[in-house]
Amino acid sequence: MLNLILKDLLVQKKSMLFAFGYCFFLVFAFQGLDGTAPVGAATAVVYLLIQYSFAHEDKNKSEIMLNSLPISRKDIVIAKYLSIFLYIGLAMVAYMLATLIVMAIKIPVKVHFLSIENITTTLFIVSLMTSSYLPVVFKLGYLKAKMFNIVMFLLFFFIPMSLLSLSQNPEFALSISKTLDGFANWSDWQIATLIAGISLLMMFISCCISIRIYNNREF
Amino acid sequence: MGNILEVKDLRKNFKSFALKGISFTLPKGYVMGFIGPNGAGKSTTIKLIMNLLKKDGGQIKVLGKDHIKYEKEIKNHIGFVYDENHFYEELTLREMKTIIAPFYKTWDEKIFDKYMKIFELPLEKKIKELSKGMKMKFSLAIALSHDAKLLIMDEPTSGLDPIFRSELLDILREIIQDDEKSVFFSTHITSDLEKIADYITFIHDGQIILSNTKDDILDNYCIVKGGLDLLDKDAQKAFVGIRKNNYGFEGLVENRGKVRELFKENIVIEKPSLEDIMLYIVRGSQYA
Repeated sequence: MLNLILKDLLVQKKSMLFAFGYCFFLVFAFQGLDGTAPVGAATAVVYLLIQYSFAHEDKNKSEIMLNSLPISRKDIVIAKYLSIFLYIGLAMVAYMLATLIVMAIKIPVKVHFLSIENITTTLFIVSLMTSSYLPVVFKLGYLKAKMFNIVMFLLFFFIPMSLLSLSQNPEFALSISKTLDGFANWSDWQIATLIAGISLLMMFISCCISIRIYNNREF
Repeated sequence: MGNILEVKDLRKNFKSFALKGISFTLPKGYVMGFIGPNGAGKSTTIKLIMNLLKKDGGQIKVLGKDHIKYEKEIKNHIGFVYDENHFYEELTLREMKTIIAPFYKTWDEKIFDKYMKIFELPLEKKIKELSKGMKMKFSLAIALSHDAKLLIMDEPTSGLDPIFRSELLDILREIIQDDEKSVFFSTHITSDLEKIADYITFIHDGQIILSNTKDDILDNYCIVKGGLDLLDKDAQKAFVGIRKNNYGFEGLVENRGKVRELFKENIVIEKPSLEDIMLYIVRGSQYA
């Protein structure tokens, strides 16, 4: 299992450097975004790394080789899911490094630091994104799943935007604030744990579906 | 002596092609050549053995064990070389080996190093920088470094020059000195097999046409040449495939003994090559 994760890291050496550079760019690009900047940056980096990891498998048709080795298909799927957590960690570290470097060399840019809230939000968004995307890639392969990927990518931009415009509606805003009132007495840690729990549950369900799908995949 | 590979009534249906219940067995310690024209079902059969495709029916046993139930255990004993290599092109040979080696319980670093030296493969070079022959050698080095009992090769010589093909055959000859090792080798370059195969299985249009020892096949079949005046309807029926021109005929007969009964004299009998047998059987209906 660990070996499969190591494989994804080795194959993506160059992409990792690119992702780190991309983080720098995003520190500048997202300076007007307030607290959501780290979330946007980390999600973008994780998204890139997941895409690259599947693109590499596709480019060399390497799944034929992997599935000819004494590895169970279940392990191949689980390794991909576990590597997502590694990518989240790497993206966070890359973002923090980028902000620290920007601060250290005193570039006049408004930087946003990573908070617990950012980490849990990133975890939630990435989980939502990958738990819907991965079963499709495991079913269709990277190339055929690209269409789904584009639609999903657009949805991830449009849904928050339309929610934002909906929040201008007083009735909607009231109902949301009532729902949130229920969490008023919760500490940040409790809310973070709840969101992390929901995220992990989504990933777990998605992983079970992917294992079933991949077990029947033909090459 | 048991069988290393048993395929029984194996079926797989695609939209435009079907494997129609094929059966054959490879005894331990031998080389089986799996021949047939392009699109006959060779790669499909190999993919089914490796569980890369899901069978619709039938049974596959490797080392006497079901290939799905004991998949991981069986794959530990299989070395595979495919027509293309599916390694990660961005990685160096050393990195690729580092990834693959731990999956095999019986990986032997010394044997790997030995083959890397024999094949003159540069460990620090990226896979994408290798020629097709070198990539094939690397696949072979990986396949031979974990004490595989069965080597499965799908068209390993296609697109390679004769020198490398001959080198590969020498290596295979060396491997099969060990009675525990067997090779299942698919190809349409039948001359390669004539040198090393003990058994030949011939597949055409999703069906096994023949599966026997190479010597029996080459002894049974014969090429008959003669004048057109010798060919009556009964005589024609004896041919698997026949070619006629203005000067005479040339055809393949399955039973060598029968030829002398049919044609008393004025014919020439020759030993066929595997390619002759394959060609006449595949195109038999067009020639007859």
